[in-house]
Amino acid sequence: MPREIVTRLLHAIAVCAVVATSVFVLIQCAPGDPFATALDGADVPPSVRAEWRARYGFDLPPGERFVRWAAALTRGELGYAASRHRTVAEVVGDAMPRTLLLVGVALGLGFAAGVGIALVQTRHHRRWQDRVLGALTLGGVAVPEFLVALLAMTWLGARWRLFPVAGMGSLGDAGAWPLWERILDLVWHLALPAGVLALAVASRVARHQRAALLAVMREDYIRTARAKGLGEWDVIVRHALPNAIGPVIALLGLALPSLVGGAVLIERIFGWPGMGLTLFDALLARDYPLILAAVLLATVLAVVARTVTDAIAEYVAPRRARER
Amino acid sequence: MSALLEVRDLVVAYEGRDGRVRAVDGASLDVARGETMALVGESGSGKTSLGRAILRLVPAASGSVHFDGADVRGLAGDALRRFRRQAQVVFQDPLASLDPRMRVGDIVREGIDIHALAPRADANRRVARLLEEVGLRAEDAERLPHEFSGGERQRIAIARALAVEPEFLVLDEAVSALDVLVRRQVLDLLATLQAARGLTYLFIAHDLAVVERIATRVAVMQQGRIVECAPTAELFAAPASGAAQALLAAIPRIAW
Repeated sequence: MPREIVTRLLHAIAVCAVVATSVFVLIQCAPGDPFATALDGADVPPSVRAEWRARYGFDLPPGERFVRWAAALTRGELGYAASRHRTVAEVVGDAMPRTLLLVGVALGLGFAAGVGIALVQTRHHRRWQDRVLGALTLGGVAVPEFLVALLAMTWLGARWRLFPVAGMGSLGDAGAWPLWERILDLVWHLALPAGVLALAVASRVARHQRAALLAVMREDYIRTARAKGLGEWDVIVRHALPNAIGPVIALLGLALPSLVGGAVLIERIFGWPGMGLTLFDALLARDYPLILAAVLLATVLAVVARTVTDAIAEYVAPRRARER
Repeated sequence: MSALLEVRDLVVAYEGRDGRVRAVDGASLDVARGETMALVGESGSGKTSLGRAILRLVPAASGSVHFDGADVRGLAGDALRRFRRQAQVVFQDPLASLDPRMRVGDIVREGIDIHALAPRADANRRVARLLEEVGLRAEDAERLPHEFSGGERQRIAIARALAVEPEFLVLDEAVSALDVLVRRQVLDLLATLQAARGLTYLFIAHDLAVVERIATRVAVMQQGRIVECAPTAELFAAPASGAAQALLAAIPRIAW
């Protein structure tokens, strides 16, 4: 077991190194740099441009800059986010919890709803409930998140004014409100972005969970459970679900990176100031250290999530883990 | 003779790729209390479908099943639950028929809990007694099904079926997957349990050699119908139907 942990850790480090290098190279290939918009006008003399670039180390060859950045990283330094006038660590420290909140809520809601939908579909297999829910989840998988986001924004936000369309808190004196009101305000602002993400998660989970449940429902031990006199709901929840949920949990771990990717769009659309929006702004500003840190952290998150979901999947399916 | 089970003109149909397939096509059968009725026939003759339809694990298209005077096809709610307690089943492959995630003790105890046959503390003691009755140890309750051998697993499946104290047991090829020695032990166990508990068996098999030892009467099935039903000795001495003759001829005999 300890050997396995070491192997996984080495894998994770290797993945992060590859990702960091690729992002650095890609960004070097893209035109512009942090000073392009501010300095590269016709009225700025070349000597001034050169001096500002030299001050921030942009006169060095890319290879040397990468080595410097990597060396700083091993000391735990992520560098300075020039576009924010703060250190990268501070920017990320603010943004990361917001994204974790958004993605965490979406993941939790989506997973619970998806499993619930699949249970209902399995209970009413091939009847109208199954078909209606199946059509809805197919739509949820097929329609892109940004479209759902814009529709939700237009109708639930602008037309019916049920939810705020942007930001994560009310303006004005909201900071002075009592704690529970501020929490309520946060949940209210979270509703649309988290809801849209959760919808996508729920659709995918439901489709996979339904397939897994139906495969298990053909097993003899399901027949045994029915013969014992268990009601159909008990048969599904107590015997089929525990045997069918493992692969879906593992799948969730694999789907997490795409969820983080989806969160970039959602954060941009709903103005949720998390890692996605930070990355988006950093890309426009060519804020190299911030871009690298954001991508690297997303990578670490994906690797960690995958390891954790693998562990959970093994825990709920002890047969697989213990045999051989 | 009052029959515990009366099956009349039962039809079980499945939607196949090329239309409806009648797995059971008008089968009639009586099983008396306390006897072992063997149900034999070649693969695909409808034995398993008939067994499952009797237990209402698959729906019947037409015909009737009466168990202890009650119309099984019309049961619902509490009456159906009561029937599930009275009539139990043991399947061919015990590894497939036991939930791989549940401990043996929980598998056996679930039936007791569903039918509220014993308070919580008593239930565990009953599970231990049942495991010992089928030749396992009380400690085995803590283990998972895959940790046992084939014969032991079938003993678990039998203990599970007996946990709700049924009167009637469908043994659906219950010993077909076991090797000859283990098969003999399990057959002996079934005979002992029958004597001790007054059980009635419907013993589904494709192999007449197994049936000869355990059955009171034998029903022969062919293409969804019962073509012959006779006391075991009679059937072995003078098989009337072609299906029975073919099955008898298929028993390997050593020529001296």
